[in-house]
Amino acid sequence: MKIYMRKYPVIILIFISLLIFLLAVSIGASPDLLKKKFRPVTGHVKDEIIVKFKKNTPYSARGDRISRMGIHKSDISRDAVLIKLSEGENIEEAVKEYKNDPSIEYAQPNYIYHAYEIIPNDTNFSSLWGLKNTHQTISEGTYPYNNPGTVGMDMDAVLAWDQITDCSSVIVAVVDSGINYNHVDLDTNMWDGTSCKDASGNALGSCTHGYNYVSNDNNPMDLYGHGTHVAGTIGAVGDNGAGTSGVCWSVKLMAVRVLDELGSGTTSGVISGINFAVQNGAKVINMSFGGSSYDQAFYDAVSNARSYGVVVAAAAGNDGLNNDSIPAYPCNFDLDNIICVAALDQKYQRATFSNYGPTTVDVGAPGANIMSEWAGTPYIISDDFKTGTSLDPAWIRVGNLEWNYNIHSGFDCLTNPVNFDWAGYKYKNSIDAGVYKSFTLSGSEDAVTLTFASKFELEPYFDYFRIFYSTSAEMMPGNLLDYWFGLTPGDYFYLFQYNMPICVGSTTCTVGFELDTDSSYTYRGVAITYFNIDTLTLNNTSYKIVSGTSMATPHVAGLAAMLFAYNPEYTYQDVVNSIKYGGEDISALAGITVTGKAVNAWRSLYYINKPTGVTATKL
Amino acid sequence: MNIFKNHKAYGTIIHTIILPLIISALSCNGEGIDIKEKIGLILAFSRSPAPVSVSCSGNCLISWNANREKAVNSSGGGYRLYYSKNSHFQISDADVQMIDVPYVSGSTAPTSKSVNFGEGNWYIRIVAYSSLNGESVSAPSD
Repeated sequence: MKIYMRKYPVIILIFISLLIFLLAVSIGASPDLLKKKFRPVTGHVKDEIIVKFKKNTPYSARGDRISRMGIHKSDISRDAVLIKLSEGENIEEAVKEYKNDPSIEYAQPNYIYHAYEIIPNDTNFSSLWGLKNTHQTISEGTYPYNNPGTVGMDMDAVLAWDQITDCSSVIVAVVDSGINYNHVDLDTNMWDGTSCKDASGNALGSCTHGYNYVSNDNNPMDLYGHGTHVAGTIGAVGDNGAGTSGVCWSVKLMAVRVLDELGSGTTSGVISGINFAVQNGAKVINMSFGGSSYDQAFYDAVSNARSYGVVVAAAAGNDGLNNDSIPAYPCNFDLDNIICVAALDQKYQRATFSNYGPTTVDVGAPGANIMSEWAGTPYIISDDFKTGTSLDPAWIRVGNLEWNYNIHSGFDCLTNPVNFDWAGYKYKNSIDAGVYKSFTLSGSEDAVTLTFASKFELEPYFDYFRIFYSTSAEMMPGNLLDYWFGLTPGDYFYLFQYNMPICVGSTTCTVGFELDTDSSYTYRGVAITYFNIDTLTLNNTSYKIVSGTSMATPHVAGLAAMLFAYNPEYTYQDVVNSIKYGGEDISALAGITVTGKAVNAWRSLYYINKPTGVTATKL
Repeated sequence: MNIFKNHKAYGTIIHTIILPLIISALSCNGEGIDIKEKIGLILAFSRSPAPVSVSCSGNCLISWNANREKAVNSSGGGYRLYYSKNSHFQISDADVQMIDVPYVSGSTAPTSKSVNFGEGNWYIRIVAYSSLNGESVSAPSD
C-alpha cells in the first residue's frame, strides 16, 4: 500500500506557532467583521423579470401580457409570475413597459442574492485556500507552483455553511494511520466507540474512537500523522477559535488504523478496517492510499460497503500518471460507490504530481499546500557519516574495518568496501564487518523509524547485509531489523524504511550495519546514503501543510458527509451523483477526468437529481 | 524487483519506473467517408433529443417518485410538470406548457398531479426544483 501524500526530498520545518500568533493578531482585530459577512446584491438574471398582476386581472388577460415580451417561466405566487424575456428584449425597457400597464401591480428584475457567508473564527482558517481561496500565499507550502492561487478557486464551503455546518448525524471512517483523537481540534468530533463491533459484527465492548488493525487492539492512535491530517480536513472542529476548520464543522470521525508508523499497511488490515467501519455504521470511508495490484479481497470489501450504502472517497495517486493506462486501486475498482479524486493546486490546475484518468478519475479537489492537523511534533535526525572528509568517529567500526565514508554518485555514503565505486572494487571474503552509531533521543518520542537509501550487490545466499538496532550504546547484541543479499537493479539507490519500536521511550537508539561474507566470490558491495531517524512525539496542537491526492480526498469525504447530513434520505448514489455532477467545470480537468469537474460544496448542496419513475394513468 | 531476496516484508523499496511512451495513431480517412461527413453525422445525431417516454391523453393522473433532496421537499421546493404534443420536446421549447406542483406541507412535495390534457396525445416530463441558490432545478425526467 502506498499513501498518497507528497513527500519532497527536502523537508521544510513549519514554524506553526509563529503562524498561529500572526493569524491570531490579524484576525483578532475585527472578529465581528470576519464572523459574518453579507454579500450584497450582485445584479440580476439577465433575461428574466418578475411581474405581479393586480388581483382583479383575469387570467385570460395575463397570458397575453406575458407573451408580449417573453414566456411564462414559473409562478412565484398566486398573482406573480417569472417571465423569461424573448431574445433581444431589454430588461429595463420591459420593466418600464409592464409598470405602465394598469393591470400590473409591479414589475422588477429577478435579482440575484447570495447567502450570508459564515466565516469561522478558527485561527488558521485563512490558510485553508481549498475552502476559501482569497489569493492567499501559503508561505510554508511545499508545493512550488501557483502559490498564491486565484480568488474563488475553492469548494465554496463558505456558501454551503450558510445551509449546514453540522454533519454529526454521519460517521466518517478514516481508514488510514489512525487519528490523534486527543487533538484539540478533533477530540469533540471523534466517534464515541462505546459498544463497538468487530469486522464481523461481533460485540467488542468499548473502542477508543475506532480500532487499530496494525497492532490489533482498540487504540487507533496515529503514530504517523497522515490520518490525523486527513481527519482534520474532513471534520476539524469549526468555529472554535482554534486551528483549522473541516469541511464539516462537526461530524463523527471514526479512526481505523491500518497504516503503521511508516505509512504502510496490508490487505488484511485494510479489509478488516473497511468491514469494521461498515459494521459500526460509517456512511463515508476515506481512503487516502492505494496500490498498483488488483486485489480481489479489497474489491470485495468495498463492494460489501456499497451494499451497506457507504460512499468511498479514494485518492487517485501521486505519480502524475494516467490511471486509465496504469491502474491504481481502489480507485480503479469498477464500483459506483467510489469517487476517485485528483489533486488541484491553488489555481485549480491539476497538481503536477496528481494522477488522472479520463474514465477512471472522477473529480478534482484541493490537494496542494493543504493545512490540517498533525498527530504530533516530527523530528528528523539526519546523518551524512562524515567529519570533514573522513568517517565520522561516532560511527564505530567493529570486526573487520571495511566500512568507510565515501562520496558516490555525488552522495555522502557509508560503504563497504572502503573504496566502493559500484564498478570494479570488490568486498573481501571471509569478513564480518560492522559499523554503528548511537543517537540521543529525548525519551518522550512515540514513534521512531529509520530511513536510508542503499544500493548493493552481494553473493546470493552466502554473503549478507544486515541492519540492527538497539537501545544500548553498542550495536550487539542488537535487534535484527532486516537482512539482504543479491542485487539492487540498475545504478539506483533504493529507499529502505523500518520501524524501531524498542527505541520508543529510550534516550539512546543505536543503528548498525553488518557485512558478513563467506570464503567464495566477491561482488561490488554496499553503499548507504540519505540516513534519517524520524521521530514523532505526540501532542495535541500540531498542524502541518502537506500536498497530495491524500489531501484532496478528504475534501470529498467531508462533502459526502455534508450531503448525507443535509439530505437524510439520500442514498449513496444520490451523494455520488451530487458530488460528481454538482461540481464546477474546470478546464484543466476536461478530458482527463470523468466529469471534468472540481468538487464544490455549495453546488452539490443545491444539485437536484433528475426525477424518476414517472407514469401516466388515464382516469 | 524480484532480484531482491528477503525473507520478510518489512522493507519498502521504491525505485524509478521508466515507462514506455505510448503513442496512438488515429486515422480519419478511409471507408469511403471523409472527416467532414463524419462530423456532420455526429452533429445531426446530437441535435435530436431522445423521445419522451411518458405520454397520456384526456384526463390523466401523472405520478413520479419522490426526490430525496431536503430542499425539494421543503417550502420553496416542488416539481414542475411540463407537457407538449412533441414527443421529443425540451422544456425550454416555446410551445411547452407547464403546471407547478409546489411543496405544501408534510415530509415530501406532492408526487402526483391530475391533469386534463384534452384532445390528442401529450408527452410529459417532470422537473424538481428548490429555492437554494435563488432557484435550482433538476434535469427533466426522461
